[in-house]
This record gives sequence, structure tokens and C-alpha cells, in this order.
Amino acid sequence: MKYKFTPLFFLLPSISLLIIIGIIPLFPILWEALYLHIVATPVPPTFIGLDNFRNIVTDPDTGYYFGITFLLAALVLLTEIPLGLGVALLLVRKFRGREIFQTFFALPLGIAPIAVGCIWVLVLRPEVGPLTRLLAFIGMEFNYMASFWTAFIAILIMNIWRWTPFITLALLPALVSIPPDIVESSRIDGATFVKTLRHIILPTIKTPILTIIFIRLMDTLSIFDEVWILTGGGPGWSTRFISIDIVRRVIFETDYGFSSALTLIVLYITISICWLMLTIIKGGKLVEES
Amino acid sequence: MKKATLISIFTFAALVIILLFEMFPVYWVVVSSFRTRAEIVGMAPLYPTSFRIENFYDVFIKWKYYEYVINSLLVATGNTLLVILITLPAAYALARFRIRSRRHLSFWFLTNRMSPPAAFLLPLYLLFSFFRLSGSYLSLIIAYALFNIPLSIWMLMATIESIPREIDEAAMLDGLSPFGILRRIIIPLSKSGIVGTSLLVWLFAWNHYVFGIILSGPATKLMTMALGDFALTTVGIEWEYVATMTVGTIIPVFIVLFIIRRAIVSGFAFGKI
Amino acid sequence: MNNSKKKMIKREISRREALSTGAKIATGAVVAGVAAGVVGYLAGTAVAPVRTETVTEVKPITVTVAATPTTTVTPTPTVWSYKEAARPYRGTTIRVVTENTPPAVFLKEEVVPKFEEETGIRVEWEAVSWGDMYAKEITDLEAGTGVYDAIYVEQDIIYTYMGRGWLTDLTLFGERNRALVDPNFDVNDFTAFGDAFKDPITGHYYGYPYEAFLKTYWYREDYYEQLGVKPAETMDEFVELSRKFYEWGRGKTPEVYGCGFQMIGITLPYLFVEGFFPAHGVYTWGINLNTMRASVEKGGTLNSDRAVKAFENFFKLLEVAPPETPTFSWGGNVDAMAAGRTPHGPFEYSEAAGAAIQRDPALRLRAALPPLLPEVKKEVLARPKADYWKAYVNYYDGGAFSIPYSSRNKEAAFLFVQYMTRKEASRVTAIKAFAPTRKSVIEELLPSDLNKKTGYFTLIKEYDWMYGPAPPFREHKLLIERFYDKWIHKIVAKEVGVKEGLDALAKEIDEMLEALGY
Repeated sequence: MKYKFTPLFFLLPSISLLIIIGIIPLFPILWEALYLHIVATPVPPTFIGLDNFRNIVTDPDTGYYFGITFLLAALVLLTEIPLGLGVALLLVRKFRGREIFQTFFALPLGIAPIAVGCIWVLVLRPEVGPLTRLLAFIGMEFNYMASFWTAFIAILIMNIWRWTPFITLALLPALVSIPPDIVESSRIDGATFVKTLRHIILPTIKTPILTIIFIRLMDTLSIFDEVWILTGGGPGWSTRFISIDIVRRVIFETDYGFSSALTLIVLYITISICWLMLTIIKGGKLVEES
Repeated sequence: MKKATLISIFTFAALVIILLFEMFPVYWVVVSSFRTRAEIVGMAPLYPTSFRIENFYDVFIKWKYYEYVINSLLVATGNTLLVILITLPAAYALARFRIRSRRHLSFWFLTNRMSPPAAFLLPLYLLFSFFRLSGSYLSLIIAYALFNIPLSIWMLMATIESIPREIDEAAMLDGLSPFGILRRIIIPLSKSGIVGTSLLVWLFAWNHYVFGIILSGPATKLMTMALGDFALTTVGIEWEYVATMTVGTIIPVFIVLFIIRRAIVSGFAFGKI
Repeated sequence: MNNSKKKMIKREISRREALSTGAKIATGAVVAGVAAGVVGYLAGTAVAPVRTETVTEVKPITVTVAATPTTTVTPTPTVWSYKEAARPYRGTTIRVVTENTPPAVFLKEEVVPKFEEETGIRVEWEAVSWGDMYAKEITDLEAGTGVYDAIYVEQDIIYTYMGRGWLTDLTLFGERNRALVDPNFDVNDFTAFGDAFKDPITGHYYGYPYEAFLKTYWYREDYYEQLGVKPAETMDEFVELSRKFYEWGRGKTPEVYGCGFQMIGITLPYLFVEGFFPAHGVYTWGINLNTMRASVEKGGTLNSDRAVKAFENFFKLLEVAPPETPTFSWGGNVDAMAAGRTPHGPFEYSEAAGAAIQRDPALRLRAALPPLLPEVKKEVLARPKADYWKAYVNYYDGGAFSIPYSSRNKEAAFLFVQYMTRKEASRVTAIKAFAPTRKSVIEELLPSDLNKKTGYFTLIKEYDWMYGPAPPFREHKLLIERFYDKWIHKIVAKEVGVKEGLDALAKEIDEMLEALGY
């Protein structure tokens, strides 16, 4: 037929570009991962087979870094989603100033992650931030770098601050689409808020929520900029999430072999999680087969 | 009646508190950016105490940081143009045509968008240094496509899908080639969608930091890298300039968000989920 | 509609064919790309030569410093000037990257403009954060892209760069380009610190120092007077003194604590390897330079009793430190001293102290030898002066300007490097940032008010030989980032016992060094 190849041509530039930057570089990485290659040392790259992988897998700290990353993701989801949903519910009914609220509420979403880190440094650091002083009024001495948990909670709060608007604004269209009569009639029938939630609201937002969970999950697992500025992986190595680990190993340790192995493992995990989430979001439009 | 007003009061109060929470850090940064360092470190009060425009002058004009603004502009705009150009036809193809491996393609795009950028730090560095492109505008413009192409394809697909197929079919009957359909029908009808997508793509490119660590050289230093410099100084952080730079990074964002506020409110960007 | 539907179905069926062809094309492209990538990569690594004029075998660099080379000065018949020497290079631009330390700032403000004026060579000066600078330098040097013409090289990283053959031999360059050598530039005028930038075997310089400062004991003289005490000489005295200040400072406004240190992030392991360890007799980071091992069983000192004692004293001092100490960066405690929050610090970077005095001339800070274990003092006095790594009291910090081997403007850069490190420039860094690199400058400053107030220049003149620069590990960033950082933080956070942590640290370091072929 005349336009047999057209869709192919339409797709070709995008696919080629992604192959060039997303697939081709992985081959030298595959190669590097089998070598001991530290740039800072005059020792030439030596073949060590799977030793890099072995070191990563047997190092107890690796489990820790992956663990805290997943922990953060879990806590983020558990707090942001209900919060975002809650705020969205508050916004469902039209009221004066709703638009203004939404516009301002959306502002944190456009701020660069690294700027978010800088903002929170200015707020949290004892020398310059008001938070420490405010908390001192209630008698709490607060230094977010005092321990792992204080730093972790600071990161969590920063994340909530940044992303709750996203969840709210993403759920809003779906919530607004619920005809108010249904809610009214169910209330007349004596349904409590919880019941309304379970039987009316949740099913409506099921698809967007799953997608939101997916996006937030993957984004939190890759968290970097904010944490880099706020804690740099500290105190010590306690908030050294996966991305921070990789970046430190590439730039400061200049251990290309180890980093390459780590990169491959992380990409493998990413792909697995994507696949997992997609099978869960069965009805999602990304998997649509017309 | 009473219950309803109680709920409204509660709702109003809750929303005010939430908005305060969201806006306070931004407020604090803006206020700090106008202060002197002594004020910031010296337990400054919550209300603005100075209005030193000099901070901005120092950073952007005296120290020539406007160069970095220009760099970021170039890269972000370049990347947006590239991405929109190549994803428009791609989104059209995916939305309208039955492509066998569409599922696999979509999945592959997804993994590109969802992968941690840090994981691609070393691969991209090896790639671009091999072609001696490291530190050039081109390397950044291309690198950002990694996560922007999938994003753009999804959003454009959603936009295109909202155009009724019958229009396409009618045009096909009239003998228009797919390319012609794209040009004459799809694009004009999806103008707002394209604009919205471009702005989002631009925003992600402007805000990016990770790839800049390895691909942004002295000639192409980005705003985000300069901001990082200030915030990561080891001896004597210059707080007032950190705040100033942060504000500088945020301003274009606010402008963009203001432009598309209608879209935000109507849920455009998020309704496609 | 039926007709068009049929057409569309037909289109869909042939779509499949189109796509299989497309898939074949794509696969072909991928395979070709893969082959190109692998071949290219192999070619790339084969091309990177180890260009070095020194020994490249992986052996520990021996400690003793060779005799200073014959000076590169040959008197030229006409009067030499930077202006004349730079004539062939007027209008070139050289690119320099450095860390934005106080000396760098002062150089940029006071010396660089003069250089540009005199020589007509434009200088693009990049002063960035340490991490950024390190990343940029490594990428440029490794790829040989010649982006930078002069780089800041800290004396701990010089061995890495030298080992990889990335730097230009300045001595040799001067001999081959007599016209570019400043006859007033005396390399013998450099303090002992200059030796840190020489190749230990040939004695050639690979960098000219532009900042050099001691990490040493700094205290608030006014506080000491108020309490009627003198600076401590031993570690035990220092701990006692800190406790005394803590008691005294309770309830005062502002409250005064006992002591403070750099502790945040990567600054903490440096506090130990540069400060606490040498003061407690654990030298060269606990790694034996001959056997290149850290654990006591293999000749090292990292998990020795002395190291344990270092931590014990650290914890004692931490008890009387202000609560925000864990967020102190390199100069954090100096800032605290300036604000009156702590009375002293046992191991502070003198450049930070200098900068603090610059900001507030009324500040009364004085320098002294760091508090030591009594055995350490004996060991230091017993060693030959030039053999600093045998025993030293604390860290001799600083940096130099070097010329990358890949630079394309070496001549202009050579003029630049000399200009930035000659006597006039050294005077600037000496006065403004307490980072003098030349004996003559120190002599000049002995009678100055600054010295009377702080005693710093006298300290340098008489005792700088007691301090030691970083040991010659080429992989030192790797060691500190991967091992010291991790374990020292764990020990300080009390996640693991001191002895346990040190044992584990030494073991991991030994494994790594072995894997690297030492």
C-alpha cells in the first residue's frame, strides 16, 4: 500500500535517538563492568570477570542503600497519596478563589529539584533557617543532620512539600467528574464518609491513582538533586540513596568498573519494576492493544 | 445548616494552612535573596528586613551569570525544539496506526523515562567523550531527550487521541497522505496540546541537573550547575547568593506556570493520566 | 464507509509487513551501532597512553626527597620582563580552573588583572566548588581534551595526576624554553611545602605552590587571657583545657563551649587523617608506605592503640562541643571561634583563620603547635628534617598551579603559573589568606603586626618542617571516599566500636590495595 512505511518513518527519528543515547552506551558499560577500572590510579584496566557484581551483591551496605531508597519510596507513597487525595477532596466543590489556590498550589511543581534542595537548606539549616528557631520555642532542639532519622524525615517532608500538589491536581479531574447527585443520594441513603470513599470515590480514581503511584514510585527511587544538596548522603552515609551512591562512585571514587556494574543492576531493577507495575495497571492505556 | 458551615470553615482553614505550608519556603527564599549574609546568618526575623537588589546585580551582572542563564535557555529551547519535532510524527503514528510492536515500544519508552538519570551518567559520559562532544551544547540537548521524548510522546498521543478519527478518515478519503494529515489537520487541531507539552518539556530541561555534572563544560555551564556550585561550597557558603541564584532559577518557572495556569486548573497536564 | 474500512484493514495488514521490514532495519542499525560502539571503545582505551617521564610501575613512591634540582634560571642578556616574554602570545586566552578558596579569591582580585595587563594574555578564571573542580579536571585530563591550560592541584592529588602522566614537567619545560623563565623566580625560595610538588626521584617540579598553610592549633587569645591559661602542649592538657572552658562558658551569653571540629560529610575523615591521627602518632593515614598496608599485622598503624586513643580523645572533646558541630564544614569551627562560641580548635586550617581575621581585624586569634601525644613530639624531633612522613605533627595543606599535559597553550600558561606563584603574588596570599609559599615572604612578614598578633609566621618559619603534606597515594580520593569516609562516620555515630571499626577499615583498605597490585 502507498503508506506502508510512513508510520515507521514517523517513528524512526525518536527511536533512533533513543537507541543512540539509551542503548548503545550500555555496551561499553557492559564491558567496563567486567573490569577493575579506576581512573585515578595508573593501574591499567584489568579484567576481573564478575567480581564487581560479586562485590556489590555481597557488600552488606549495598542492601542498606537499596533498602533506604525503597523505604523512602514506601513512606512517600503512604503519606503523599492520602494527603494529596485529602486536599483534592477539599477542592472538589467550586468555591471562590479555587483557581487562585490551584495556581499557587502548583508552584512547587515547577521548581527545579536542585532548587528545592537549596530552598530547604535555607529553611532547615540551624544557622540560617527559621525552623530551628521556631521549634526552639517549643523546646525542641532540632538539627536535621543530627541523625539518620532526622535527615530522613527532613527529606520526606521536602518530598511531600514538593509533590503533594502533583497528586492533588492529578486526581482533581477524576474527582470533579463524579456527579454530585450520586454523592448526594448516597448520603441520603445514610452512607458515611468512609463508605462514600470506598464505594464511589476510590473506584473512580483507581486508574489515575495507580498511574500516580507508579510515577511517584519511580521518581522517588531515582531521587538525587534535592538530597545531594540537603544532606549529600549524610550524616555519614546514612542517606546515601542509590542515585547518590552511583554519582559519588563515578565522580569521586572514579571507579568506572564498579559504577558500571551498579548501573546495570539499577537499570535491571528499574525495568523489572516497570514491568511489574504495568502488569498491575492492566487497564492502563500504555498497554492498550487496539 | 450548622454542620455545613462548620465544614466550610474547616475546609477554608485547612486550605489556608496547606497553602501557607507550600508557600512559606518559597517566601523565605525570596526574602533571603534580598538580605545581606550577616542578616541571614544572624537569626533574621520572618518578615522582610532588606531589599538589596545588589545581590541580584552582583550575581547576574557583575559576575556575568547571565551567561549561564543564556546557556540554560539555549539548551532547554534546543532540546524542546528537537523533542517536539521528532515526537509529533511519532505520537501521531502511535496514536493512529496499528503498529505491531506498539506494546513493546511503549514499554521501552517507559523505561527510558523511569530510569534514574544517575544511572545514565557514566554511559552518556562515555558516549559523548568518545565523540569528543563532552561539554558542548549538543551533548546536553541530545542527552535530555532521554527522558523528554517519552514524556512528549505520551502527552502528544493523548492530545491526538482526543481528535476524532473521522476527521482523519475524511481527509484520507480526500487523498491526503499521512504526512499531509499530520500537517494540515492534526497539528492545527492540537495547538494547545503541543504548546502545553512543549512548555512541560522545556521546564524539565531547564530544571535538570544530573546530566550537567558530566556534560556541562566551562563554555556551556548551566544555571543549575552554577546554583549547585554556590550551595556546595566547602568553605564559607554565601547564603545570600544561594538564595539569589535559587530565585533566578525559579523565576522562568513561575512565568511558565502562570501562562499555563488555565491548563493547570482545567487539569490538562494531569487529566491525561 | 465500508470501502474505506476495507482500505484501512488492508493498510493494517500491510502495516505488519512494513513493520517487520522496519524491525529488520532497526535491528541492523542496532547491531551496526553495537559493533561501532565496542570497536570505538576499544580503540578509545588503546589510544590513551600513559605519558609519563617518570616511573610508571606500581610501586610506592619512596619517601625521601631528592636533592633540589639546579635552578632553571639562566641570566638572559637583555632585561627580562613578562611583557616581553609574552609578546608572541599576546591575545591568547588561557583557561584556568581552581577551587574557590580564600587565596584563590584574592589572587583573582589582585594578581590576575595585573597579569592580563602586563602580558596581554586573557585569563578565563573558573573558581568552583571542590567536587566540581575535581570532576572537571579528571574529565579533561583523562580525555586529553586540553580544555584547561592551568589547573589547581592540591598536594594530596598531585601524586594521582603525576602517576597518570597528566602534568607537564615544569622544570624541564623551563630548561627547554629559556626565554619564558622569569629570572627572579627562585624555586629554592619555596618553603618545605614546595617539595610536595616534586617528583621524588628526579626532583623536577610538576606544580608551583600558590597557597600553603598549616593545619594547626588556633585559639582565642582573649578567652585564654580571661581564664589565665596558656596553650596546651599535650593532648591530655588540651582535653582538660577544653573541659575547663566548657564549665566556664556555661550560662554565659553567648554560651561558650569547649571545642569544635569539622565534621560534616567528607570533612570528618579528613579531620582524622590530617589532624587526629598524626597528633597521636598514626602517620601517613595509618598506611605503611613501604608495605602499603594499613593493618597492624602487615606493618600499618591504622588499627593500632594509638589510633584508638585518637578516637577516645575525639569523643572526649565531642562531649564539650556545641550541638551544631556535626554540621561544621572545613572552616566551621573557625567561624564558631570568630563568633565566640568556641575558644579554640586543635587542628584548624590556617587559611580559614586568616580569612576570619581579614573579615574582622579586631579578632584575636593566635596559632601554636598542635597538642600532641608526648611520644609524637619525641619522634618528630628525632627524624631528619626532610623526612617528614616518618613523623609529623599535623597537615601541611595547600595547592599549586600545574599545567596539564594536554594544554595547547603551555607557553602562555607557563608565564601565568610563574606570575601567580612568584614573590609578589605570594605576598598577597600570605597577608590576605595566611597561605605564604616563600621563605622570603615569611621573613618579610616576621616583624609585621599580623605576626605579632597571631604568631603564625614565626610558627611557619621555625616549625613548618614538622608538618607533613599528604602521603603519596595515587588513589587517595578512592581510599578516602570509599573507606575512610564510611568507617569513620560509622565509628563516630557509634554504630560500631572503635577497635572493630578500625579493624574493618584496615582490612578493606588492604584488600583494595592488594587488588590494585601493591
